[in-house]
Amino acid sequence: MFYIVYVANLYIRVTPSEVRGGADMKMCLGLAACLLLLVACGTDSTARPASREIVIKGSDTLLQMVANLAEAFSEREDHHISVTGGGSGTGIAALLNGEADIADSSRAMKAEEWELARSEGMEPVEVLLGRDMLSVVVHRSNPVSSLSLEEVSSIYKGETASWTAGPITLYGRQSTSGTYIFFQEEVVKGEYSPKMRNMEGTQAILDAVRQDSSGIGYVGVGYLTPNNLQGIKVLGIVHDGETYSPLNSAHVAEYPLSRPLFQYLGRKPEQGSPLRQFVLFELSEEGQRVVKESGYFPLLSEELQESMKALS
Amino acid sequence: MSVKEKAIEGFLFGAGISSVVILLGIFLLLAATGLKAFSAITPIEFLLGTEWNPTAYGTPRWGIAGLMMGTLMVTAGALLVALPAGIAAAVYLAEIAKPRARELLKPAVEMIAGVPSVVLGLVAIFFLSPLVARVFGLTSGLNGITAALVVGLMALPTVASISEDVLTALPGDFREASLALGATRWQTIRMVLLPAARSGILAAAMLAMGRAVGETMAVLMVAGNARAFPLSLFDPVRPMTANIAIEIKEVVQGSLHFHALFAIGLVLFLFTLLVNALADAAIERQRGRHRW
Repeated sequence: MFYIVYVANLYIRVTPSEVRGGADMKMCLGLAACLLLLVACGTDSTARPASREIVIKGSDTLLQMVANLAEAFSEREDHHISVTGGGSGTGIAALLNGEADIADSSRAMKAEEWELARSEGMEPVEVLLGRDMLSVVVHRSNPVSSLSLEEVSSIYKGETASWTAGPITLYGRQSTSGTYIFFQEEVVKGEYSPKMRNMEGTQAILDAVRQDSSGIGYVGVGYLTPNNLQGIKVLGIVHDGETYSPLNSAHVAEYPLSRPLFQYLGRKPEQGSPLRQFVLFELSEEGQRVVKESGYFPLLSEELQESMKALS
Repeated sequence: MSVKEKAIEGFLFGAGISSVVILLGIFLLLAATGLKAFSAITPIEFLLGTEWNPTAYGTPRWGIAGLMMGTLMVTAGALLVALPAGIAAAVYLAEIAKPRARELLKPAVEMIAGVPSVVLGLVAIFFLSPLVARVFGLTSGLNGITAALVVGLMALPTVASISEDVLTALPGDFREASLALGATRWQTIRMVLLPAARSGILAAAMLAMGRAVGETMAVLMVAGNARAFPLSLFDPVRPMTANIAIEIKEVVQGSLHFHALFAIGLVLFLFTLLVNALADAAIERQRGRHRW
């Protein structure tokens, strides 16, 4: 049985593909209802079912990819896996509050979050899952085709306020988002312009930029599906005189906004536990193929080894 | 009195006062948690500061003036939409429409109130906001105007429905006396009925205002939510409700940010309480005047 609950995307899909041995449909529906309730309440930490269910929560950037991984995994193994979005910060907070088994994150855990976890008796394990080339997008009609990181930073700080043709409208994520933090620390390196519109999710940024000829936004490369690319132009990033495009998979190592995508576990999962099996599946050849099919990039070989080492 | 009757009476009494108890409980919880924020933020910085940025790259800022301005702008804009349209609809329903039309239209107007706000928000993102951008020549329709229009639409049934009740409840003598004196129907509506219904319409406006101040989901979806102090409805706004909804997801319980969000909740609560109390007073006045 397998549930996906998309919160960030404002719709909910529950697909009981297979009923667990002995349990009847009623119980299955009941569980689904409990889960929905759990999501609806959000903060209720006591209601977490002590079943073999794996609860995954966090980054919107990783949401579809991890849902795909969970689906592929549940085709082979009979486990309940629920995957929800809400932002990296939301996922890490849920992990620390004991409401999730795995936190998806598009940024590394902050020092104070490590500290908080240790003070609560956790020994968080960091696993790399894949790579993203964070992409800067503008409206299709925008004549600009590439920018340097300094230029992007100046635009997002509000120091550069107009294109040659007119004013710039900034779209970014909310502070719950790992991408918001990553982009602030790696690109903006200062305060975001307060005029930046804070969007609910990555898809919302794409939808807004598509409608706005003055718009600029940043999105995970996994969102650049053929459908989403309509009306959108993906900018190349200039670095040391070279232009790198997130659409060119050969650039994955050198692209200036190439970043690892993380998962955090509260502690090392026990040998043979479903949680451990699932993470190992994600790192397996098949799992990495799902990562690729979801629009992201498989781990570099040393990253893969690092993640395996963290688990053993 | 039998035991059974006493039990029933006790149950009804409990049900009756439960809302008061709950209201008081909410207020105390909000106050107890929210006031803790003022151990680190001065009330002056909180209420008058124009910068809100708790997760800043540098120093966090805790001023909610921009957020309050966002709430006020959206509310005022919503009332500008809902009041004229709502009162006009009420006049039509109460005074002009034929009974058949009225039977059909009144439930239809009230049904707008039943549309979930997230659905209105969805429609607004994809249809209203591009339209607003085109009509006003803006680059983006995610701004105060779109938010005000959506909230105005949501507040419209409140205004229309209550105003219609008030107009219908006015004594028939008013209408008859005015018409007998040779006034036209329009003169009767404008100079006799509307003034007589003034307090009731004011109450409707107040209730609509309470609705507008508290609306979250639709506003969150279309307001743009930028942190900059809004100078006009053409700017993106970040009302207090949207700010709480956005940030509560990531705060660590017990942190300063957590307490500050509760303090914003307290401000919102007091504001809506005040508006609702004013609405109640206005309704009382209308009742006292014309047996409504």
